[in-house]
Amino acid sequence: MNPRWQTFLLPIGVGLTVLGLWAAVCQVFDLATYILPSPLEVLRAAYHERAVLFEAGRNTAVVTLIGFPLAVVVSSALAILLSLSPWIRTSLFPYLMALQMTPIIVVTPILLLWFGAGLTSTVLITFLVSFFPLVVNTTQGLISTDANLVELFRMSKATHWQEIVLLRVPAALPYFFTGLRISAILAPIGAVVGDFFAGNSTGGIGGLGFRTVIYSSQLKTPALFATAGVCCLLGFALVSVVYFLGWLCLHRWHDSFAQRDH
Amino acid sequence: MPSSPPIVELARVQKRFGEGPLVLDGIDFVAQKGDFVALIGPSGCGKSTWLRLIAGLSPLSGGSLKIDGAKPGETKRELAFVFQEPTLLPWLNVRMNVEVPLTLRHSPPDQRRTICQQALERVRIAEKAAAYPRQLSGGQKMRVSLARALSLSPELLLLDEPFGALDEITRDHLNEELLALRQEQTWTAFFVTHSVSEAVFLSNRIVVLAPNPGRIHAEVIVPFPYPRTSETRRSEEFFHLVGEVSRLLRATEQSARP
Amino acid sequence: MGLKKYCFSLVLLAALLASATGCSRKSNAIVVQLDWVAEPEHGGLYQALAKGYFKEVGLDVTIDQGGPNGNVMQKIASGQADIGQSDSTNSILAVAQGAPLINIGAVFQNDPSVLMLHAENPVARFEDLNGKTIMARPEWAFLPYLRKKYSIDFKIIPQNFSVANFIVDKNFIQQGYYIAEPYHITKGGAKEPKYLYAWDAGFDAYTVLIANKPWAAAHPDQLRAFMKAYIHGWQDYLEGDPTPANELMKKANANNTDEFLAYSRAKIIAEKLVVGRQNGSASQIGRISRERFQTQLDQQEELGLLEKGKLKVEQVMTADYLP
Repeated sequence: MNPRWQTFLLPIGVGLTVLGLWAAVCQVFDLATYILPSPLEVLRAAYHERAVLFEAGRNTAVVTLIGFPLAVVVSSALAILLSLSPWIRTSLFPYLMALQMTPIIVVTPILLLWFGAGLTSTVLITFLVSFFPLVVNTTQGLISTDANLVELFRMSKATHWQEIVLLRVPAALPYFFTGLRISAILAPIGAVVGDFFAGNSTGGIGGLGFRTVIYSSQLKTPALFATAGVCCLLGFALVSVVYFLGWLCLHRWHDSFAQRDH
Repeated sequence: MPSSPPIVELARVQKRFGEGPLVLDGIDFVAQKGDFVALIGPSGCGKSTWLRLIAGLSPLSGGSLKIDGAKPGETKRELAFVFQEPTLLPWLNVRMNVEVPLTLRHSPPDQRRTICQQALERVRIAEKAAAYPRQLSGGQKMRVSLARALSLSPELLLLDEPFGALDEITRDHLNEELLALRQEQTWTAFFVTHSVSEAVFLSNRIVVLAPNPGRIHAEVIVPFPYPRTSETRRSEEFFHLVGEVSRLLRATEQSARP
Repeated sequence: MGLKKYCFSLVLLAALLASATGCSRKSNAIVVQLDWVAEPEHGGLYQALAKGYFKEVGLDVTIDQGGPNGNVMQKIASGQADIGQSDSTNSILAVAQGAPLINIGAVFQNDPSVLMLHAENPVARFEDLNGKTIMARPEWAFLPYLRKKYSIDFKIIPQNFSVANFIVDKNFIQQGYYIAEPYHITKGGAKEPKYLYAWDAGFDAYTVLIANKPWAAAHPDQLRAFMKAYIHGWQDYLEGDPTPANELMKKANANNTDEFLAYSRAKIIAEKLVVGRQNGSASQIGRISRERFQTQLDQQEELGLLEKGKLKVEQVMTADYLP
C-alpha cells in the first residue's frame, strides 16, 4: 500500500474502532447519559449547541491567538538575552524554572485578583503557559551553535550583532520550532483554563472553559464531551499551522526533513 | 628559488593552553611569499595550533609571530582558513555560503556576486550553486569551503587537513586542483596533513614536527618545480622523497624530550 | 440498581476513582453530603447528631463536608452519599438529565442565595444590573430568570467562593449566602453590603435535602425516622442551646469561630429562613410544597432550561418521608 495512504487510513481505522467500542460499551451496559454518553448523543449535543460552541470556540481562539504570539515574541527576546552570557543564564534560570513549576491553577486566581476577570487575565494566563518551553528551547538553540561556525565568523571579523542575527538565530531555528510545537499544544489549554476562571466577563457566551463550567454543573455530559472535542480541534488547528511554518523554514536544509531510504 | 620577502615570521614561539603543558615550544620559522609549507607530524605535535596562532584564533604564550611585520589579528593581509570540516551554514545554499565572508564585510552585492561566481567556477562546483549542503558529497562540500576561502582573494591560506575525510581519488583530484589554483593566484599557504605523499606533492617546504612538546624536528625542501601534475607523483624522485620524509616522521616518535 | 450497571460502575469507579458504589452499606447507615463546609446552615443536622436524635432511632449518620467543588448531585446520583443538601432549582435540572434524585424535605424555606453589592453601588434595582458583571455560580437558574424577566443582560464570572474580589472592588457584585458571607466581608475590612433578594424578583427556591431515589425507595422507614430526628434537631438548634452543634461544627471545620457561628445562627433566626418568612412557625420546618415546586418547574420551562412537559412534580419531589 502506498505509504501516503497509510498515513491517513491507519489513524482513521483506529479512530473508528475506538468509536465502535465506545458505542458498544454504552449499549451493553445501558449507562445513564450523564455518566457516559454514546457517540451519537455527543454528536447530537454538538449539533444542538453548535451556535454556542462555535462562538465559545471563537472566543477561546481569539485569546489563544493573542497570548501565543505574544509568548513567542517575548520568549525570543528573552532567549537572545539569556544566550549572551552564562552569568545571565545562571542568575535567571532558577527563577524561570520556579515560575514554570508553579501550577497555572494556583496563579490564575491571583491574576484575576490583580487584573480583574477579562481579556488581560486570560491572555496573560495563555502567555504564561506557552512561554517556558519557548524560552528554554530557543535559548538552548542559541547557545548550541557549532563551534567551527562561530570561529568562521570570528575569523571573518563579524560583529557581535552579525554573529547573533546571521549565525546563532538561523542555527537555533530547529530548536525554536521544537519549542513552538510544544507551546502550540499548551496555549489553547491555557486559554481554556483562563476563561474557566474568568467566565464570560468579556461578554457573550464566554469561551470553552466557561462552557465547561456550565455544562458540568448542569450535568449536561454530552455537551461537555462536545466541548472537549472543540478544544481538541482548536489545538489541532494551531499545531498544524506551527508544523507548516516549521516545514516552510526547515524543509530545504534540515535533516529532520531529509528523505529516508527504505 | 628567487628570494621573496618574508610574510610570516615565527620567533621562539611558545603555546600552552591554560596551566597545561607546552603544546609548541621554541618554534623558529620564516615563510617567504609564495611558499607552500606543509606541516606534518604525529598527533599532539601542535600542527593545528600553529595554524590557529597565525590566524589569530588563539593567543601566543611566548615568543613573537609576525605577519608581514604586524601581529596576527592586526594584519592588513587577507587571510583565509579552511577547516577540517567543510563548516558550511546548512540553511544557506552553496552560492550564499561562498558569499558569507564578503557579506559580513558589507561588500557591494554585484561585486560580491561576480567574485563568488568566479570562485565557484574556479573550484568547479558552479553547477551546484543552488544546492543545499545536505545534498552534497564530502568532496563537493570541501570545494565549496575552498571557494569560500578564495572569495576573499587571500594572500595567506591556512588549511587544516582539509581533505582528510575524503577518499583517495577525490583527494588526489582536489590536490591537483589546489595546485592549479595556485598557478592563477599567488598565495602563501600553510597546509596541515597526515599524508606524506600529499605533503610532498603539494609543498615546496615540509616541516616535520615532533610532539611533547611540539617542536621542529626537521625541514625538508621539495625540489620539484611547479606546475606539478599526476606525472610528478609517479617519478622516482617522488618516491625517494616520500621515503625520506616517512623515515623522519618515524624518528619523531622516538624523540620525546625527557 | 441493575446487576449489569452495578458491575460496570464498580469497574469504572475502581479504574477512575477509588470509591465504593455504596451498595454495600449497612441498612441503618446514612451518609449525608453537605454542599459546603460545616456552617450554621447545617445547624439542625449537627444538633440532631450531637444530641443523639439519630442514634435514638437506630440510625448511624455520617456527615461529609463539601467545599468549592461540592458535586453534591453527582455524589448522591452515584450512590456515594444517600442524602445531600442543595438548592431546589438545580436539583430539578439534575433530575431532568436523568440523575436518580428526589427532593425529600426543606432545609430553608427560602434559599439564602442573594446578590451582594457594596452599599454605595448605584445599582439599586434588578434592572440596573444591565451591562454589569456578576460573580455567581454559572448554573444558577436565577441568572437566566433575571435576563428574561427584566430584559437585561450581564456578564458572568464563575464563582470562586472567595470574598477577596468583593472587598477589593467597590463595584463588584457577587452571589453569596447572606447569612455567612457578610461576616467575612466585614472582617476583611469592608462595610456591610446591601442585597438584592431573589424572592423579590419572584424567584423563590428552597434549600433542600435530596436523596438517592432508589435508596430512598428501599429504605422508607429509615428515611422517615431520619427526617423526624432532623426536624427535631433544627427546632432544638434554633430555640434551645446550640452549643452541641457548635462543638461538632468547630471540630469539623477549624475555621468556625464562636463569633461566626453566633452571627450566622442569629441571622437565620432573624430572617426566619427555617420556619418561613411569611406565616412562619415551627410546624413549617422541613416542609416542601407541591405548588412552589410546580412554580419552579414552570419557570424553568419558560426559561428554556427544561423541555416543556418533560418533568412532572411527582418526579422531583415527595413529602412521603415527612412526618
